[in-house]
Amino acid sequence: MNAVTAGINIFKAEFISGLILTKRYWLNMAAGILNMFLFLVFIQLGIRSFGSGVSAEFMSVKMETLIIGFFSFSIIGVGMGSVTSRLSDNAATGILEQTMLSPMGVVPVLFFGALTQFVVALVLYLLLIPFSMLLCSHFFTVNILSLIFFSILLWLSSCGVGFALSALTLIYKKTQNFNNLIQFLILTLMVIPSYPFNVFSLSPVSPQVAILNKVIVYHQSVGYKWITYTILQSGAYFILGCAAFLVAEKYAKKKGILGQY
Amino acid sequence: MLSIQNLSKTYNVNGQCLVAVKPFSMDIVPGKVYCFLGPNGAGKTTTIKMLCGLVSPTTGTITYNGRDMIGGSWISRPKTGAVLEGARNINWRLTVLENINYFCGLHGLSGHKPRAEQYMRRLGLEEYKNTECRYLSRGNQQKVALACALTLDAEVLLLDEPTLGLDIEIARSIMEVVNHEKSKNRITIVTTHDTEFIELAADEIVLFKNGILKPIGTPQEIVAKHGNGDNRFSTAYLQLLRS
Repeated sequence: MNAVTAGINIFKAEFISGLILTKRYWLNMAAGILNMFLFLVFIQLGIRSFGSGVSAEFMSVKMETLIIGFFSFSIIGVGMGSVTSRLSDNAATGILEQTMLSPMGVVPVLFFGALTQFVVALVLYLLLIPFSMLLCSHFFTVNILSLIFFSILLWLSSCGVGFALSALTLIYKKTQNFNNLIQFLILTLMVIPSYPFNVFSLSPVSPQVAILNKVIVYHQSVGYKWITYTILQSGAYFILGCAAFLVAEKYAKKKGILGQY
Repeated sequence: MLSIQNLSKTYNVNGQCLVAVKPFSMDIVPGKVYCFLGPNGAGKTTTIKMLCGLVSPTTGTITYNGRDMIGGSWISRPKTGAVLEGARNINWRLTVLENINYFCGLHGLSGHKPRAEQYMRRLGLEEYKNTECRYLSRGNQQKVALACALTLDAEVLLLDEPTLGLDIEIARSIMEVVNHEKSKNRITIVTTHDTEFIELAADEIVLFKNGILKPIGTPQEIVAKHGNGDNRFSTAYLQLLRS
């Protein structure tokens, strides 16, 4: 068995079990989709209501910013949350140690689980955003390929943050409130001006959100240098997050606290 | 062969050293069932967790046919199936068959379906194969955990108190399956307090006492040596603990 075959089989196992659980707990899934949809609709209706006194051009840009902002925040939530909540859930239900017996370790298992959730979320958003716009009679053009590509970078960077937070969960066990606090940090990172390059561009998710805004909302070109930097930065945060997790895993194994929750 | 050299575990608890397992060495050959026996807190679970890589040893090495089980790459490590202590080895939201498929997938396996069917049949789980595990009794959940570990076709099988809290019928069926698995020529290590399990399935006993491990022979040898005429293993074991 080589790494690729093992990786594919882990992804298949995660994808199929995810699908089974989604189908089994369909009510939760349906409520989640409805939640996403209503958020999108109410953002548009809310802006329309508030923006009745401003020019159409301003309102249009504002609405696109909000929709893409909400989309970005959701993708960050999926990237971070799928890793952290999965680890907490596995620890609480007791199968974390069994998961860790996977020959390749727990990182690929968490990664492929997160990937499954990202794919599902992306597909849902690509269906729900146009549908909500249709319902609210508001339209804007989106380059779907760019949206998918930059979403992958945003997710990868968020996933790295998720692994770093999970490292804390491995050691300190109950970290939900800390993870909740991180939401505010993420919101800050989303709005800080990280384009053109400055010290804020080094922070996770900021350049990815900036690039999504520039390209998708304002239809501006950001240049290959910036795109290359964002790709490398996303990869770097992902690798750093995984490395932090592996260090914490080693520490937990040394202390014998891996499965205690 | 599984070779354990100078393996030990010491925890640092509030600045104090707590010796869980004192350094020990032993070789474990395939095709036999090794039972780790000893009072609570003697270091049995810690040793099992060191063997499956969930706890890092303070000193020592574990090799399987010369391949490093702790520090080696994942490709060189033997396939290890484990049923760990407690009732939470499986995903309660998945069915029996889905659990087996899921854990085989996590071990990078495919083409395990015939083995899954075989073990479900042997463990009497066929009628529950499409039942979510949360609806199963504690005993049947333990059987599912064992079915998952066995379907992996692991080279090393580690069972931590597999019959704890189970009724005699389910405990017996688990014993029978473990006994039957001897023909698979795999490394099998079981920790247990169940003296009936030892009488029926154990080939070699390793005694844990105060963090010290000592291979002490077969159940028959122990009964002959410490039984004082009583041919029950429990009597011999109690005598051995008091000595």
